[in-house]
Amino acid sequence: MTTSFDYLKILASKVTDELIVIWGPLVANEWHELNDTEGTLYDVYMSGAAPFALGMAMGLPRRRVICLDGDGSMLMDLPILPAIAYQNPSNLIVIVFDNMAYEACAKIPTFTAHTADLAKIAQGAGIENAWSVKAVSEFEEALAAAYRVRGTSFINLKVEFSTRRSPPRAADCTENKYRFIRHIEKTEKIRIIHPLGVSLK
Amino acid sequence: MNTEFANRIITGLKEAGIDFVSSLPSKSLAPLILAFADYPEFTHVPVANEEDAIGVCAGASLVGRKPVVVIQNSGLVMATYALLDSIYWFGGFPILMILDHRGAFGDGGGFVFSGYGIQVPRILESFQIPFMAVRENDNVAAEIRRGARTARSSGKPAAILLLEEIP
Repeated sequence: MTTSFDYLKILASKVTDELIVIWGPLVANEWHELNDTEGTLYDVYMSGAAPFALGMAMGLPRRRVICLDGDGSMLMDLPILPAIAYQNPSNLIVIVFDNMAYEACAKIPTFTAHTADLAKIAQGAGIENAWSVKAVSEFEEALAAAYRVRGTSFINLKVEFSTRRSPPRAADCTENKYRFIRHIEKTEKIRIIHPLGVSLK
Repeated sequence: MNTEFANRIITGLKEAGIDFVSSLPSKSLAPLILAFADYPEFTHVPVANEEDAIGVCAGASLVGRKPVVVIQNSGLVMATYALLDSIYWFGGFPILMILDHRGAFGDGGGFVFSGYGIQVPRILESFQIPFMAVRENDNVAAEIRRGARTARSSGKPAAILLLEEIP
């Protein structure tokens, strides 16, 4: 199997102006090391990354949104999958780093270590473009397809544990929120933050 | 909720500049939720879990949309996890919430709603989310405009509690 860092190196070489939404401290630190961008929102709470990403994708259809989630988080919020499938936005890619464990919790196994298959669950929810991936070459193929096909894509990456650790981030979600919003304001040429001194109607 | 009341809510949302909806039905909210299909100016994202409604609307607000969550007050209890993390981690998001406030003063629907009627205002207060309770005869459109303005101005959620006479 492959480590999350191996997969992320592939993703980092592919993205340009995509919006990235991340849950998972290890993956967040690795992404930060590889390709920290102003369009990245880190530390969206467990089970929050996919709904945030769906809201962004539906709210800004001309920008591609990539959700990086974990198996424990996705299992916690399976109801988001039929909601995504119903909208099926082509600008949304959901990538799950499935290490089959609650890694921060003594590696206690998740249900994907036993019988659950998240790609099949996504397909059952109605996301037709769903792949289960175990190697870098398979991820390259799935990612290329995800950029090409119509509708939302779901890629479940089987991940092996790694002892490698990226440098820690100075994480502050509020700072990250405003950096992200200012990036959207700049790149989309819109105003999101209400300016002081201007009354709202 | 009758169609006329639903239409007045829609009017208020449009006047407030709301352009994005995430919803989960309640019996009373059904006419409102069905009405969104007639208004293409709203991007409507139905969900199956109220926590997702908060997340979806938070994401939409980050890219410049003006969102509203439409759920029953029991759903707010479900959504407290997402609300707490979005407020205490990210400092909150400007989301208007319209809550069908079952179990409130005058609701004869039965004991199953009572706890929500009593506790949901306390939950909102504990999260420091400003809210206004509105009855059918009130100017609901004006209160929605005020609620949306409060959310945008503060960058944090605000709520409208819809009180209906349930004999």
